[in-house]
Formats: sequence, structure tokens, C-alpha cells
Amino acid sequence: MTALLEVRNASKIYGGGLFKRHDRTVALDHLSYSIPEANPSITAIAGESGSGKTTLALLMMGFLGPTSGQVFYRGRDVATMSVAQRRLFRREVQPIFQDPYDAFNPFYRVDHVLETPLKRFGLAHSKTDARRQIEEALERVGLRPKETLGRFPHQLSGGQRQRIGVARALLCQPRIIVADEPVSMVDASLRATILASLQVLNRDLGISIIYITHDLTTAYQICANIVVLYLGNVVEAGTVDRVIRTPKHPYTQLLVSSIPVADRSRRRGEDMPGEGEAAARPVAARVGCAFAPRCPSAMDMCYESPPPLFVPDAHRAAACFLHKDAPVVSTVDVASIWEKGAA
Amino acid sequence: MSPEREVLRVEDLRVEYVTSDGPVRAVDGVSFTLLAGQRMGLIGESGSGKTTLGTAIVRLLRPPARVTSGRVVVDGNDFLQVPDRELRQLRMREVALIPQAAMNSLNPVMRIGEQIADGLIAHAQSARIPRRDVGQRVGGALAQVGLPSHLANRYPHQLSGGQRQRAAMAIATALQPKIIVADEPTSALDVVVQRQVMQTLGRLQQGLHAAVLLIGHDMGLVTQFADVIGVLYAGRLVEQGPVDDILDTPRHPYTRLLIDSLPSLDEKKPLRGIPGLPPSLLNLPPGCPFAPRCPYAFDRCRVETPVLQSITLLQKAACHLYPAHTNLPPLPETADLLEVAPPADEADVAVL
Amino acid sequence: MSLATAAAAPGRRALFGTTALRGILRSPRISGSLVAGLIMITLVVLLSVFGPRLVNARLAAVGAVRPSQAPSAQYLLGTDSQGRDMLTIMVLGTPQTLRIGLIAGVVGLAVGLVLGLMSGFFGGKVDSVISVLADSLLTVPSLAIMVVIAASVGHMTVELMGLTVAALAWMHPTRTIRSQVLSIRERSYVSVARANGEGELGVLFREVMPNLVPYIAASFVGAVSGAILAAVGLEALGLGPNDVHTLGTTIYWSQKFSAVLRGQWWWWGPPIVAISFIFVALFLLSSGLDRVANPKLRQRT
Repeated sequence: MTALLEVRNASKIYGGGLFKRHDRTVALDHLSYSIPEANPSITAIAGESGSGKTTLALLMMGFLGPTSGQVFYRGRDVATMSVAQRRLFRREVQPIFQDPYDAFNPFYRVDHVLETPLKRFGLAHSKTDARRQIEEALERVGLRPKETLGRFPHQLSGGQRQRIGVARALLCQPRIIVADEPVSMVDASLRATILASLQVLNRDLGISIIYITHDLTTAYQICANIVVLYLGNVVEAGTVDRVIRTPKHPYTQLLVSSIPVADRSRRRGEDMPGEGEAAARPVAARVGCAFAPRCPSAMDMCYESPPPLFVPDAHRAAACFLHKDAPVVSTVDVASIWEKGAA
Repeated sequence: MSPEREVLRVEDLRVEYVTSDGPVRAVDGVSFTLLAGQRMGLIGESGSGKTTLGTAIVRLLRPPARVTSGRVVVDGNDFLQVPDRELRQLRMREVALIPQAAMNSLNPVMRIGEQIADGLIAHAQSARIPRRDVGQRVGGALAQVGLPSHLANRYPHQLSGGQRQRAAMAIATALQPKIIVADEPTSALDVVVQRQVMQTLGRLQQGLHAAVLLIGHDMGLVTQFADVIGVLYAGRLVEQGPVDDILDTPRHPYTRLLIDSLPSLDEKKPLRGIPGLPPSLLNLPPGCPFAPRCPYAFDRCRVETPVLQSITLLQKAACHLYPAHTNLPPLPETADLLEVAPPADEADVAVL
Repeated sequence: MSLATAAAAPGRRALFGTTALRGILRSPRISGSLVAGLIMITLVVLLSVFGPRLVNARLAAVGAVRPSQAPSAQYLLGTDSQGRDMLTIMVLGTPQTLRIGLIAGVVGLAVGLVLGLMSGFFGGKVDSVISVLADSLLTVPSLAIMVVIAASVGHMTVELMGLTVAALAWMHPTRTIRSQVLSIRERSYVSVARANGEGELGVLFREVMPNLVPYIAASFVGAVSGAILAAVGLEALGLGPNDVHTLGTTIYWSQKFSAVLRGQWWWWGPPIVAISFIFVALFLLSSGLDRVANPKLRQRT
């Protein structure tokens, strides 16, 4: 499997500096993940705040460099790319941001954000061609160009702005789109439309999508695979069916059971253990499993060394000593869990 | 079971915002009743007027918003007409508001205990709490929300997000009000913390036997908590009734489409949004405000505004399909997953 | 969620078309102070531009007219004890004072803008150096330094005066611009611009700068106003340009020739009134611009 984008053993540590070594916190802990060239799919990176999911997204897009480890695009290390290679990387890996209110410069009409990539990346050979491409992109995400172009951002709703964000990413002719919580600030009734357009992009244009979220229900609806992060570590990964319907890691179980469902039969659920909230641990304190302090099933060994990824059933791995009798994942790359069926 | 008494009755409340382009009707004739100990959820998306409604009920509206008509009856008195001196006594003791992003409204330079005490002492004269008992009451208020009493000595930045939200709830309910209005209490929180905060709200409600009005846009969250639901659209209540009935058989097309648009964990189904956009409150279309987006709309809908009417004993809906029908007919074919553009004059959008 | 932006006009391209202009004038950004300040400053500018052509400059030379005359029909503002017509002096002096203020304001702002942008946008060591420099100079009593500089200059001209004042006028704009840039830098639209292929300089000029315009305008007015004050101060001490009349040098001469003791109020009075008028105008303008820049200051009816 040739990887289009590969994160290899990347860690990101914040804080510290010459005089504050003990204040460093780990946002990402030796993570390896790759997006294959063939079979573009939609994968979810799920977690709460502090899980490292946004950091991982920024690493993948090249907006941030890892403290250790590397990021490769089309086989080349992002840190040592030539200007032209960097340009290609920048164009082919596109973001969609969470906040539709923040993602537009209030000084310009929304046309600005759609015209700029065509100009900078040289994707249109004339003004008419540019206009045509923009209109096509808008229509593809379900907007009418006449009602969208020429307007200022404050004249459009959050849902419309978010869709323009998708259209913008599309105009760059990307191979990968990293969507950071694209619908969390959008009304429920409009979410479906935006998510549907992401599915269309993946299916019809072969774009791989990384869907960053804390909302497992939408992840379940549109993603094929999911990676669950907790405090910078992968705790569970696999196909959405496995991970969300039958979670094997206590943290994933906690996440799934906390989802409020509009379903009569599931009302007034019992107290789920796992009280307390995640607080990023300083580097020095990272011994053993990050979730152990909150885990109802924690054993002595959980505090001694961090659990590797075990494979209790096909196409899913969980980093939990509860499954210590299962085989360990053979390669470090998380994606291999569902690509090849690891172990 | 003896019938509970009514603690809150909102009668035909109308709230307007004065703008340079004319008045905007954010709340347009909303009426409902809340019984003691009852949990009511108000579901609305952006532009529905839900926050304006919550703020209006506790009389915390600021210009350019103003109440143009209607009453909010609390224990027999119109809360909106109560003179300012009495208002101080009634607030927090009778009616309390947990505002949106309450955890951000904590004073960063005051300890939590001091902030709770602030509220208590401000009303001490009226409720006659002797100052020496304040410490005890602070501990009690914290216990009500499941926080250990030693947190009273901490500053807000020393608490986690969920703890801060619960501290804000403690401040609001320190005087054990009979009615709690909670406006999106979990909006900025992670899903695990959200659950804890909602559980806290539930325990708080049970402990005080208070009536709770929970306002939100997350249907799952609201229906998990509430006994009775109201659905707001363009400043109007379009459906109302017990939560189980509404989830089972929604009777207003908007409610039905809203429920349908929610993703579920049970099976992967094609995603359906609601086509179109919420209407501009400055330029409301004639007739039913939902008509432009409604798959069932017919001529009468575009001319005459429907009134909230009883469909069953407990369920009400504002829709011209009734009383001719008893239930919503099956949805007409809509293969359209993407937006259907509204007519040109509706293209202006209001964000509330 | 913010309040209904009910003034959303369907996108019409011409910013200066009639409907848009009416919209701007009705917008809550335009306050009474802004309008009043603009009108006042326009009057001063008009006087400065056209005034000198309408008076006879020779009347402002020493010994041109009968000295120490109180205001009369012939000499509307009287004459000073050196035989110069006060009205002519005022008409010739006001533009010079404005020039000094403008030179200092423009130079100070330009330096402040460049340093503030670099400091805020690039951060790191550049930011540390610039910030330390600006912060320490801010604590220095600027008038004292300017006195030293001015006294060392042999022949003081209007331009040199402007530069002297500018030397200590750049720090405040630097800090203001820097803090704005720091907050703009974190907005998502800056990252979107990068994703769109903009280089760092492109981001700086196309995304950050346009949002700084209100702050630049407000800083400019503040800088000019401070510069005029500093210049008048130096001139009143006798360190001003000695080849032209300015409002401040007029005060100096009136002091030197004991105009106060002699009751020649028409000598020191008019320059003070003029200076106050200019200050009030700039102040109103500046607070009006503040409201344009900072939406939270706007009061809604």
C-alpha cells in the first residue's frame, strides 16, 4: 500500500523551554498513521478536547511541525521539501475549519476566498474559466451562485458559510481534505446536507477525507473507519461498525454511552463510571496507560507501562490490557488495522 | 397522583428587536405552562428565538430587545410587571437563569465560594439569611450540584470546564428557586462532561423539586432530559407535548423533518437535511413561516398563519393539516439531499 | 449568536452607490463625535490651504504695521509689539503647526506600523527586540528627550521639528498595531488564506492589513494630536523653527515680550484658541473613529 500522506512516529510536545522543563505537556505521543493512495475513504479521528486530534490535523496539513517524528507526502519529508513540492502538498491537502464565523475575512466578500486559490495555484486560465469553476463548485455543495457570490460573510448563514468552505477546498483540486469538526457549529437540520456533500466528494471525486470530531453519531454515519484518541494516544481504532457498535476500550465505551440519543428506549441511562475529566499530564507523569486514573477496570499493570495496541477481533485494535491475550498489532501504522487486517 | 400546581404560565409573549430596518419579531405569541417539578424542553435552531424567550422570561432582556405584549405569570403575579424592588427578591428565589456559556461568566478574580455568597447576601435581606449562616449555605449550594465543599476556596481557572459550569449552576440556584431556566447549559462542553452536567441538572431539579425549562438545539440532549417538549420555529411554538409522544409521532412537519435529520447509531441511513433556510425575521413570508420549506405545504399555508391547536389530549401542533388529518401523512418523495433555494426575497438571513 | 443583521443588502457591487452610502450614514458606526470632528478639522484644513493665499504675507514681517494695537476694524486680531499683524500670523502659522503634526504623525505611524506588523506577525526574537525597545522608550519622559534633541539642532525647520517629535511618537502605534495583529493572526481566515496558497507576505498585506485600517486611522489621529502637543510644547520653550511662524512660536514670542503683563491678550489668546480648537476636533475625530473600529463601543437606541 503506497501512502499518500504518512505521519511516522510523530510526537508533539508543548510548553517547557529552558527553564520550565517540567511544564511540558504531550499533545501527541508517537503516533503513526497513513492515508493510502488507492481506495480513498472517510476516516474519523475522534476524541474530546485535549485528545490531540486538532494537533494531528495540523501536522497532516503541514501547519505545524512535529517535535519528533516525520510527516511524509507522496514519499517526501515535509520538513525538507522543495518550494514546488511544498506548493503541491499545500494544494492537495486542504482544510475545512470548524467555525464558519471565523473562517471568513470580514473585509472581503465571500468571492475572495474562492478566487484566491485559483489565482495562487494557477488553476484557471482565464477569468471566465475561474468563474465557471467557482460556480460549479458552489453548485456541487448545494448552493446557488447567484445567491452566494457578491455577498459579505455576515449576510450568509453559518450553514451557507460552511458549505462555501467545502467549495473552497474543492476548488484546490485536493487529494485529501482534513475537516475539523465541520458541522459542530451548524444547526442540526443543516448538518446532514453538509455531511452528504462530503460523502459525494469522496465517492465521486476520489478525495480522502479525515473527519475530526467528538460527535460519534455523525462519524458513524459517514465514516468507514475511526481512530479514537485520548490525551495524545490512540486508544482504539478500526471500522466504525466495530468500534462504535461494540467498543472494546473503556474510554470508547464511556464516549459511546455519553452520547445523548433522541430515543425513548435509551432515556435516563445509568451512571457510567469514568467520572472526572481529562487533564493533560506533564511529560514526567506519563507512565502507564493515560486513562488508568479514570478507568473502572484499571489493574496494577495499567499503571506500570503503557499498553500496546492489541487486536481482539479483525479490523479493530484497542490499547488496553484487558485484551492482553490478543495478538499485538504488527506494524505501528494505525491505518493498517483496517487496511490489511493487522496481526 | 394529585395534579401538580402551575408554577409558570407564559401567555402570548411577544418580543421585538428594534433595528435600523424595522422591528424584528423574535418571539411571536408563545404560550405554555410549567407545573411544579416538571421538566420542559424548548428545542429551536438558530433564528428560532429560543434564547430571546429564555431571557425574556427572567426579565433580563436588554435594548434593543423589548417585550411588546404578553404575560409571564409566576405564582399568580405577572413577573414582567413586578416593580424593580420586588424583582430582586423574586429573582433567584423564585426564578433563576443559567445562561449560555455560564462558566465564562464567572468572575476570574473571585473565589467560587465568594461568588455564591454574593448572590446569597444580595438577597439576604429579603430571604432573611443571617450572615453567619452564609458559609453553610455555600457548602449546601455546592453539594446540590455535586461539587465538594473545598472548591469554594478555589478560583475559576483552577476548575475544569465541567466544574465551572456546575459552579455557575450552584450560584444560580443557591437560593433554591422554584423555576430554573437553563439556556444551552452544555454548549461548549465535551460529550462526557455534557452528560455529567445534565445529570447534575437532573439531580438538582429533583432535590429542589423545581420546574426546569431547558432550552437547546440538540434534540438528543433535550429529549433525554425533558418530560414535555416545545418546538420553536421563527419565534413561534409549532409543536408541544409529552416527549415520548412527540418522538414517536411528531405532528408538525418541521418536527418530523428535524427528527429525521438526526443521525442515529443504529443503522446507516441516507442523510436528510431540511432544505432551505430559516426565514428572515425581518421579512417573514405570509402565512405559515415554515411553508417555504414544508414538503406538505398547500395554498392555505401560504396565506393563513396556523394556530397552535390540540391534536390529542396532550399534544398540540400549529399546522393546517389538522384537524382534517390525525397524523402526518407519509413524506412526499424528496430525492433532493441538497439545498433547495428559497425565493429571492427570503435570501436575507437573520442570525439570532 | 449575534443579533439580526437586518441591514443585509443583497450584494451590490458599488460601494459608493446611493443605497450603500445611505446605509453607511445611517449605520450606528457614525456618531455625532465623528461628524463634528470631521467638520471642525475640515474647517481648519480649509483655512490652512486657502488662507495663506488670501492674506498679504508681508504683514507678518517685523515692523510691517503699527505695533501693539488692540483688535480693530483694520487689524481684526490686533498687532503684536513687533509690528506684525496677528491675523496674518494666525493664518500663516496654523498650517505650519498642522504640517509639523502631520509629518510627525505620518512618520511616527509609518514606523509604528512596520514595527508593529513585524513584531505581531512574526513573533519570536523580532517581537522581543521591538517590544523591549518600544516599552522602554515609552517610559522615558519624551519632552525631556525632545528638548535635548531640539537644542542640539542648529537651525530648526518645520521638517526637522516633525522628525524630532516623530522620534518619540512611534511607540504607541507600534504597541496598538502589534496587539491587533496578534489577535488577527489567530483567526481561522488567516489559516484559510495559507491553505489557499498565500505566502506569508500575502497573508500580511491581504488578510491582516485591511482589518487594521480602522486602527491605523485611529492611531494616526492620536499620533497627530500628540505630535502637535509636543511641538507646541517645544516651540513655547523657544526651540521651534525660527524661519516660519507657528502657533507655538507665537506663544513663545508673546511670552518673551511680556504680552500677559502688558494685557495684550490678542497676542497669546488667538494661538491658544486655535490650538484648543484643533485638539477638540482631533479628539472628537479620534473617539468617533474608535467607535468605527470597535463595535462594542456602539450604543444602539
